[in-house]
Amino acid sequence: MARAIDLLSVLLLAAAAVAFGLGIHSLGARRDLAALYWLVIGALVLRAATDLLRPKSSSR
Amino acid sequence: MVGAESQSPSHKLVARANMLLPGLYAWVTTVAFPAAQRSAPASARVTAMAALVALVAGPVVVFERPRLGRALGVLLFVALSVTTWLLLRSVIGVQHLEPVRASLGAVGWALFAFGWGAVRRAGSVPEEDPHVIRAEPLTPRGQLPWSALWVYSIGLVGAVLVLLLAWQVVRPAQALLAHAVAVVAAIALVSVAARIAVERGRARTFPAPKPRLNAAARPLATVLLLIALGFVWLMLR
Repeated sequence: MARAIDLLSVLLLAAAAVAFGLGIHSLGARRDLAALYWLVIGALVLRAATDLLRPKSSSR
Repeated sequence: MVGAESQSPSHKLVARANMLLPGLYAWVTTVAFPAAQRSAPASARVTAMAALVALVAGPVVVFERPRLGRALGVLLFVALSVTTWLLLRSVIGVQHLEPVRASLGAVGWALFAFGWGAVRRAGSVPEEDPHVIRAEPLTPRGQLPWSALWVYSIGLVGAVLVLLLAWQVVRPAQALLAHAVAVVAAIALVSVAARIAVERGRARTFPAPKPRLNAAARPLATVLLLIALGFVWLMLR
């Protein structure tokens, strides 16, 4: 299970890279709303990837 | 620069060239070229020439008077270059920037910084220094798994792709925003990739999987919600 979560964090990292790429590509394609959408998703996915590693730092 | 006073004349010449040539390249591409434009004010040309004088004077005196050399060749040169840019104002506006020349100029400034940096002399061993403090060698606390390289590579490739994609944005204002966002995203991707790569090597110290999933539940749920909203928006459009 722990290895599956490790793999999930790596997949989330790759997904964040794709989301950031889509966001900037959308900015170039004059789709500002879509750009904002993908950039927010990228940031959230990256945050999730970090939280999977350090549960204590993110627990409130 | 380290132990410069004991260097031979040929070594000093090479060291001076290392300091001067990258700075000269950076000056030509980013300071002299815009200052030579017809619309550039005369004051900018004066400061640009003064920057060149400081750039040349620094390496000339650095071995005899290191502090003065650095003050002239680094601080004064950079200060006069910045003053030139401030005086040039609209001549170096975003709409007048040529991407390739700007990129080459940035590389020139990076090389200028390296040229003034100090490195260990080839062949020298730090432990042979007479001032070294003898102690037991430090052993590494852990070893990275082979997969760490792949994880870090994913972040690095993603960061490079994001930075390259930013050059596709042609609208001036949005292009600036795209580059700023791309730099932030690239830094975040590389940082998180490094953390994942390093932390995976210490996986045994992690708590049970459930707290880890719980910690990431909030951002993951928000992502899922946003994806669902995106699908709804696509279907309604």
